[in-house]
Amino acid sequence: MIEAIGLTKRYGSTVAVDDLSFSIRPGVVTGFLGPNGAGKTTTMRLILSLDKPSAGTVTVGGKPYAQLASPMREVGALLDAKAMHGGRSARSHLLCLAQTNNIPASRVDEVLGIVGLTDVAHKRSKGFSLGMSQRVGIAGALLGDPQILMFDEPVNGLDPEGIRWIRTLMQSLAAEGRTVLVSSHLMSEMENTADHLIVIGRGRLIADCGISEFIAGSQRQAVLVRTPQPSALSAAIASAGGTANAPTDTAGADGEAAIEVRGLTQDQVADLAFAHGIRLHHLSTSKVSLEQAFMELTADSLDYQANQPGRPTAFNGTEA
Amino acid sequence: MAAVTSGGALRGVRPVRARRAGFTGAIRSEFTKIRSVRSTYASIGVMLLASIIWAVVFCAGTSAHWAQMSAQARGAVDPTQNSVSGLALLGQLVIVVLGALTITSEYSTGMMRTSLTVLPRRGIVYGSKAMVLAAVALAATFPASFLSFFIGQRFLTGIHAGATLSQPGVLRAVTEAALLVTLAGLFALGLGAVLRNTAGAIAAAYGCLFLIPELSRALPTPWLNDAQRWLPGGYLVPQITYTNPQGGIPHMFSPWVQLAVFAGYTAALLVAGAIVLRRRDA
Repeated sequence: MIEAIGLTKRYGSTVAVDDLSFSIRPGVVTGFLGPNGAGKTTTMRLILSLDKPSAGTVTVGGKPYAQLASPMREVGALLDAKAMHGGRSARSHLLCLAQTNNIPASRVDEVLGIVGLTDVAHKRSKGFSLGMSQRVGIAGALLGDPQILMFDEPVNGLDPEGIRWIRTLMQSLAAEGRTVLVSSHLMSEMENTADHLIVIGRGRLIADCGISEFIAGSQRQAVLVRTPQPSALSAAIASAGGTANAPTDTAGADGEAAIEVRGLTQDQVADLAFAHGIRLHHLSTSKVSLEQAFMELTADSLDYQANQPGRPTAFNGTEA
Repeated sequence: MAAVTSGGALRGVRPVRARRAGFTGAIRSEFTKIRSVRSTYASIGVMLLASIIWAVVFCAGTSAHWAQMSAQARGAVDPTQNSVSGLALLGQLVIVVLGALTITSEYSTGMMRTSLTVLPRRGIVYGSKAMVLAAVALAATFPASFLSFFIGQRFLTGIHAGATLSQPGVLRAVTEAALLVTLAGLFALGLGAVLRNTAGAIAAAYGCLFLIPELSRALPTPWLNDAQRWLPGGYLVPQITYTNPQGGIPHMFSPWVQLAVFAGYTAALLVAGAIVLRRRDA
């Protein structure tokens, strides 16, 4: 459990983290989302007591991080995979971390095995690929067998195989009942990994909700219709209080056009068409990707209030 | 690469009783750090080599010119100083790099954030760094100093000008040369903790130890005398390594006090580094 209350970090006149409050629960993967520069890394540094907050508090398992008796046994963190001395071997690097918390050397060899680096354990890390460095970093986070794990952009620069590996790892860690916090600016990645989302933009909390709730709440949610009577349908939609616009103005040979409807549900559009005797050739609800939902929410962060990601039009998208 | 081994395989450490992470672990960790990078061995090797070569060149040179030297010149020869001032001078140049790198390489690689995450008690991290550096430096400078002394004296036995450790001031000079170099390493560590930059810390240390004393020669005599007494570097090396009664510099403190002045600067920088490390964001 990680808990932040009113967490704020200012650098001179810029506010990197602005009055953030959240709690991160065990047993699920929590995605920490935000565009580059949103304050994700700063927040993680504040959690780890690397930076002092300008205001507010953050606790890990009820205590400030700096007061943990054996930090590695409670929290495993990967902030920057390349943050190790290139002249040191992977094993020596992990050993010097383990020793600070009195973790036996046998555990170092164990985690090297878990991340699949046993063969290169004695090679200097200078020659490691980014993927290998990420594995060393993850091995370091696992050393103390902690209940809380934090990964900052762990899939950055990884190949699909590496991404899949990390995704599986995080999910299995959460399945064991651990608290897993993963930051990313890649929405598509979170869609496949996270169960819960904390979204920030310009240092402020934009959303703290389940992933499906987040997608459903997007105002991009729209009903797609294809009809040979576009003008009649548009008029009917307008009179019913919805908005209709043709995303592609290419009417077919028979005058058929595609229309995007907002403010009405799929069922309402179907009933409306039936009532006006308008033929429909296609009716569906567009599936909004997390990417789109995210872009929309962060485009103008300041217009959005915390915990209110949605508009009243929320419903889950399914192909008709 | 291996797939994730799920479930229990990820576990493993919890059953081991967790002691509070403190000095013991931190010192072991810092020792692992310093012995697992090449720069440590390279700098110690260079220091040892430079120190011995200096001793050989100066003592063999004295020996070669002995026949042509006047009685007065012979009397001014200080065999101890000839053999250990190489370590005292060149050793400082080398150990400053090792001392600075001990902390600045953690900043340049980003390792410092990892170090302070696994052990957020910063005073302990820093204290262990200083202690391990001091231990490694002592383990390198004492052999270097004694080796240089004995090797140097071998080149002087032919002319019966060699010194022995039992002669007055000799053991003091050999010991102080090693201590001075050790202190210079800690001096650079303190600067590194304040500046967090390798080039900056090394340049600042060279400036303090070699450049400022040199520039201070332009001062009028009374001020220069004060400067030489109270500044680090300068005539510190000849003052702590002389054994000839007439070799001392009259306006400076006695050898041990003069070294203590330098130890004072070193302590002040180490404290400054500790304050910066604790106060500033990592």
